[in-house]
Amino acid sequence: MNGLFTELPVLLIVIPLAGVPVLYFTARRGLGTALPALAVILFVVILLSSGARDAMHTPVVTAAGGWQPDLGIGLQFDLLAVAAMLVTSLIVAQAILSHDETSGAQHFRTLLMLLYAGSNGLMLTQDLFNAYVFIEITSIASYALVAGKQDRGGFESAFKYVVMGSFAGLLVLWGIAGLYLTTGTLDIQSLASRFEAAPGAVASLSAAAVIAGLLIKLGQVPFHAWKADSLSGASYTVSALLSGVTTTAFFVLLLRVLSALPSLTVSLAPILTTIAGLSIITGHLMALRQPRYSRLLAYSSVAHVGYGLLAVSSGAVTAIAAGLFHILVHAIMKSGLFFLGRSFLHTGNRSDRLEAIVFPEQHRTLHVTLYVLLAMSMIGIPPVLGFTSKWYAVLETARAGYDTGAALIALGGAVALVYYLRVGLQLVHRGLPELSSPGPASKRLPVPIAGTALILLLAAFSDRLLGFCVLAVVQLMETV
Amino acid sequence: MSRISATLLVSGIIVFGVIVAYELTLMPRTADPLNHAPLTLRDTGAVNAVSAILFDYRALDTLGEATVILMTATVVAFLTPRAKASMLAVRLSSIVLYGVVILLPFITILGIAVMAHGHISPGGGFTGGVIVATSTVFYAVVYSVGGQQSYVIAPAANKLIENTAMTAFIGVGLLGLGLAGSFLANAQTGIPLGTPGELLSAGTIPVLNLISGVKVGVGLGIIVMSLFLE
Amino acid sequence: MIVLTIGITCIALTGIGIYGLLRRTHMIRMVLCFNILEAAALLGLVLIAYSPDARSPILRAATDAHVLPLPHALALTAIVIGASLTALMLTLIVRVHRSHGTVLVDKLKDWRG
Repeated sequence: MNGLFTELPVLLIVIPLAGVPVLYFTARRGLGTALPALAVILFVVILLSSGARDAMHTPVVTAAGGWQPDLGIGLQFDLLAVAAMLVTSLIVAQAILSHDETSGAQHFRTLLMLLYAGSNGLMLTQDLFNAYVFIEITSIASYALVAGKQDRGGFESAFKYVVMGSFAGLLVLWGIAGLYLTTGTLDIQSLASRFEAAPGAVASLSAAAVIAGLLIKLGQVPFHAWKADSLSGASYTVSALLSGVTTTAFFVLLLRVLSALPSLTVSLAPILTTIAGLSIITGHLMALRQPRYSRLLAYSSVAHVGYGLLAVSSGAVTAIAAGLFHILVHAIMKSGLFFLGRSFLHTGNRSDRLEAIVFPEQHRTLHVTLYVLLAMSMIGIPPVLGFTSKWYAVLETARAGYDTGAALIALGGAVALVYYLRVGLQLVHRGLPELSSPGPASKRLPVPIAGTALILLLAAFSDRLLGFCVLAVVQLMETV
Repeated sequence: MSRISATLLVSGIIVFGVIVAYELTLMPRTADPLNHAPLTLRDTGAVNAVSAILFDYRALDTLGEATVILMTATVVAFLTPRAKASMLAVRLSSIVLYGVVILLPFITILGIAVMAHGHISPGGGFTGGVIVATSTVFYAVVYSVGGQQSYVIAPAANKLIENTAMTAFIGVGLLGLGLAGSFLANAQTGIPLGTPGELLSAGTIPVLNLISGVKVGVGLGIIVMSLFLE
Repeated sequence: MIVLTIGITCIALTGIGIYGLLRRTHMIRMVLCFNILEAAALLGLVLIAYSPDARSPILRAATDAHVLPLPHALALTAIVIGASLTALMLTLIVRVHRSHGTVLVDKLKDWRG
């Protein structure tokens, strides 16, 4: 089967999809769902790494079903996809391990597979309408995951999330229809050449609608409130997935769309940088005022995606690469902080109000160490990876001529220091509160160990990692 | 958001809309310049160009779409724990009871026919699936009188069918991958395309039509029944 | 003329839908507004394909003029996705009503955004 290898992009989408019936049938036979789900991810990662060397030279471009784009769907497996998908695979694997309640485990893992398939599709597709389908798969899986907590807040925030998300989805659909009307193509690569030739306001408006839809999905400023609502209504594991996997996937798609429309990106740059700057300011200031752990982290996500967007909208290749690098690092560390939140539950405490949260007695030192490392990374204190990624973002944004933006990113860290320190002091200094009913003691080690270790270890190689991101962005610019 | 800003936003959209409409009406409206229909017939053997696009050229989209239905059915069934529906207490007249029994086979057959003829006439798996779902919902609504629930297919079996159909869809895709080297390949696998316009033509398109019809039929059945029983 | 009529309908539906979504009074009404918006998008897709002197893309004679088939296929996919989203929203409304006893947006506790 010589065709297998060139069909790699399709396989990366289909294997997680095939995971859905596999989970169903293995669960029926009482085999459990954790191992099959992990096997799916392992398989995907093996395929990813085996294809990575080929993608280093030229991106693997596949026409699904053997049909060339426009009527058919083009998929592209390049370094950008490799980098982003390795990160999301890590987070999904952590999420599979972290779900230790038996009830609803099959439902949860099925949705997880669908989210994984959808986000992989988002990061690989070259076809706008196909991207819309994957946007909706990813989004519906996330709505369902938020609602899966099955409590008052969960349903309410899931409904808000659905309304906001569907509106963004419709914006994207509108934009795709308009782009097809004016350029006659759905393929991102042919769009790049035909968009410049297509005259008129409709094409630009439509492209702007697609970008706006994606920005709403990323939770940027005028539409940022849903992010805190949905993340605080969801369970910690789900919040980790939403802030790690979906954000990364939508960011990669945004990057693909923006790089296909260079002239529009230049004319939109003032708007995009304003949105990014406002997101950074709003995100950090709101995070400072939040009384609850998940809301605090959610607003900090708004700010960090703002860093990425600011770097990307500056337009320079190295700045875009730094932005991408920061988004990927942010996905690992933010999901790590959310996964860490799970251990609060082991003290029998269901609330995530800042004055109530405390780490359980088991592995207390380990928990505190993990929190300190992750928070250092979020704030941007050396020697962790979060520092280097942020450093590059500041440096490259300033080099691209956005001094104010660079200053904002740097100042953001100072504000972040205040709120992470506040949470951290509380977590460290407070003794265990008198609990009427201590929760189920967990012998299990905290989940985010792997991600945190990675953040710590990879800091030494950040030059090379940034170099990889630069290669990915150069490849993206060349293929378009 | 206040009412003023809402009005502003809406009027802004309408202004943009007017620009779009203006350009739309000025655009030369020509028929399909490439004339896809003979092209798709040559490539896929399907007379219905829309079906050819849905189930062959853009079959990956359709797989995603079928996944959305599966996912929604699973989620809706999970979020609505079984409860008795209040309106089930209504006693229906015998005209309704017998009328449904008489109608049911015809509706189901119509649905299956629409599915099977998807590649040669308007319709296809999704339309046919909706028609089949109507018949199961009809039956369940009419015969679930007095709080007793009746199903054509039990909920557990529904899930089994959904997952089997999903496996079958992916299986057809993998068959294309094995035989022709690309996922969901149709004509390239060497499957005979048959005489255009006949029921058994167009390679894998009728198969995928039937599979997605089953998925939509069962999935919509699950969704409607779950919401109905609430 | 028919293009203009459909175009205006499309814009009117969009305006109505967005206004209704922003008013945010009743959850069911918001779902309806979402459906109206979606109908407008579908109408737009069909309008792109429309041409006054062409037939539906089901081949009878090779010399016939046909409308573009691609937007129709896209519209079909979008319909299914929209229906799924509607079902999901309705399910969530049922659950919200069960736990909060209301489907009025104003009465929900901390509705923001």
